[in-house]
Amino acid sequence: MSTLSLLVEASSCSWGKLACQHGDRTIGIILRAIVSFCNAHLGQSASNQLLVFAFGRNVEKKLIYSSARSEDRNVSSVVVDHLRDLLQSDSGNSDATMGAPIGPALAHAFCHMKKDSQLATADICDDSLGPAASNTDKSDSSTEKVSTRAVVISMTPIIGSEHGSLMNLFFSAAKQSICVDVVSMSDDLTGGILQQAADITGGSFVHAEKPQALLKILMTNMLTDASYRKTFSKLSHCSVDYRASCACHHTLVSSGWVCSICLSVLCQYTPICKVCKAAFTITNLPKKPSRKRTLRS
Amino acid sequence: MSVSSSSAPSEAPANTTGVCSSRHSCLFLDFLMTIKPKDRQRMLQKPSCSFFIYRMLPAIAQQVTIQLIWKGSFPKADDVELTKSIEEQVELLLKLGIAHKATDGKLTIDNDYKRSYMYAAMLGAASISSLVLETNNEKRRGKDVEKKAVERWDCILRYLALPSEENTEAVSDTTKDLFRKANFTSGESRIEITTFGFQFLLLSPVKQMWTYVIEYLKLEISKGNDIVEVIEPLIQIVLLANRVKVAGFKAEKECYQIDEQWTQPQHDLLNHLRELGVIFIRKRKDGVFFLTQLLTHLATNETIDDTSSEKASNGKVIVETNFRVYAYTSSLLQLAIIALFTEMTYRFADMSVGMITRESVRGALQHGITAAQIISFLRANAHPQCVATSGPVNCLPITVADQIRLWEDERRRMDLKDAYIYSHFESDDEYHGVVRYAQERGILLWANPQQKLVIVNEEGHEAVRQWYKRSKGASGDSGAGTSSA
Repeated sequence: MSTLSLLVEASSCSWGKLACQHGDRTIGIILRAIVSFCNAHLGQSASNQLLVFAFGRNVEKKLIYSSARSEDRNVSSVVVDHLRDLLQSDSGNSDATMGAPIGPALAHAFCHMKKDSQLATADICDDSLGPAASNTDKSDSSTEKVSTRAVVISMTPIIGSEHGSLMNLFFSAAKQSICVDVVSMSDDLTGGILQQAADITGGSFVHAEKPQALLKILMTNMLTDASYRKTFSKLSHCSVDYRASCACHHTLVSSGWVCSICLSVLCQYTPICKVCKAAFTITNLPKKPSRKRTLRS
Repeated sequence: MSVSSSSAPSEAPANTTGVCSSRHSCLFLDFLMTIKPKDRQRMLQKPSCSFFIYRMLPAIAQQVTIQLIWKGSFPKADDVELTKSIEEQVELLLKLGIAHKATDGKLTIDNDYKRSYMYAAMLGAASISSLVLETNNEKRRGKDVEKKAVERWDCILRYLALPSEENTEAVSDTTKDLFRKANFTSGESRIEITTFGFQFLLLSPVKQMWTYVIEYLKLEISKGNDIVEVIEPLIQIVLLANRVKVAGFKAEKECYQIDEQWTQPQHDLLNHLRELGVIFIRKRKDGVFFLTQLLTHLATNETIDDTSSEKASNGKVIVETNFRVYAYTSSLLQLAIIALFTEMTYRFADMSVGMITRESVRGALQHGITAAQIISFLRANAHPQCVATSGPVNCLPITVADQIRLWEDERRRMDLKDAYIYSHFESDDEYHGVVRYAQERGILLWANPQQKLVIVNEEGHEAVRQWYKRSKGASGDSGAGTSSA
């Protein structure tokens, strides 16, 4: 059995931008892709669980579908209706900022999956009729593990303010062996920090150039558990951008200043740390750039 | 040289029916391979069927299918072993007609399958079924659906395990007929359980249900009914099982309409499922049926055993290293099954004690039950306490499991083969010539230079005779040798 969390960006600006770029049918194509993917996941096994989250600035109820809720009976209609409502209400307000905070939704998803995997019993009997000839088949009894995965469909590159909390989330996901897959639909090939998420947790990061490609990417790369993916040769990973973003201007820096108290990254020297307000008592500022602490390892 | 032939019937393994399926085969898929290609193609065209077939495929085959649907090809694996396992799965897909191999060796997905799978994925399992959900009103609410469902299923098992007057009456004629046709029971008036029946009793519930359903479908085929017509509603009902697992699911609240338009075989199917306990029909005139928890058995791919939760709560058997068996149950059915391979010593109100002895296990083995089946039964029904302390495998002490296997092997100590023995050779040369020839051909079973005896297997006899005639003709004389069979 496996539990899948699907996180979809529900910011009307991002959807609108995609629709402008690729034509009017875009929104329908994306919705159809999401729904097909949900159904395909549920169809794979009767014990598969599915959670669909929407993340956006004004989304109050993040969990829009859960296969464990008895009132959600038809995935297709529930997901489409909720997403449409969210987008419509979001388009009504005057907030025109692109992008959406993913952190809270991701944390929500991880917590849900952690809870589910604990509920499922750990002991699984190996009931299959083992070959009578070998008595040694006891050690490798095929104890089926509950696999937990998250798939993020992002439409705007996520950079900046969320960096710290997101990194924490990714590392805890890796620790809980939750695999995070990312499909980025933005113009930016790197997808911001989400590429790191995939790299840290052992998932795959794919950039969808056209909305039409979304369904194919979801189906071929993200439908099966990570353990089965290695059967087929992996996607070639391009180098992952591991730069940190600074605490002061939220820009990616390859070398910067690190506060000795709170370890926050600053892109330029300040006498007082912006985050923890610690005063640096440096008598003579270093002139040479070689004294800077580089972040890139 | 004279030849004598010894022949004795070798012990034939009893695994001939669908009861003993190997570890990796799925009863449903195996059945699918046996039906007519035309019917199978019609099934692939139905969205619900294609969706369900996909679910029953092994994981790698699922992935191959997906890659074929979306990319038209799949990347080669780097590992030799993985390549082999992929090839096996591709073989399965070819047999099922999901994939086709072109003359140039290129794999293509079946167009009908592709279309119906994509259609099903688009709509979802709930929408592709033609079953109509009805919000239940108070009047015809089903009561104790779960309890009654389990009772139904127990009835069937009890009929097999303890053929008595009372149990016989509780089972419908169609089921009796089915068991007889499936060779689980024999005898017309007084039924007697056969080897296959015993093996059926020891299977896990998931396998039992599937075996029953597959036997039913086979029966339908033999009657000449349209199989697709029956399979489709079956699959549609099974696909609804996702609902049953949901935490807040109340069987009483949801019911589905029984369409009056349905044909007679389809109504028969419903009756059978009712008898199995996977659906519940309060009264025929209600025109509705309820889903029950037992439906999950049919929805699981039986090669993956994930019915652990239910096993953990049901287990009642403790086996000690001194071969004593304690069964904390008063269920006659459970005790009857345990008594198949144990010698019961004490019987108390809620608990029974028995011993696993060589004789008792040999008795079971002679009935055609295999050691692996006994072991898996004991493991599956182990007391939760045993599972908690020593894990799902060691809950049955290793010594006991090994001993049961040894007792089984004991019966296979002798391997009987038809063979020919050659004796009374005229000279050493003749003897050595035969031995050398037999060795070269790989047909020699045994040879003794002192007594000048050679034994070759059955297939080799003709070759030796030909050779002997040839060599005799070449050497000219020494024509005293005789060869007779």
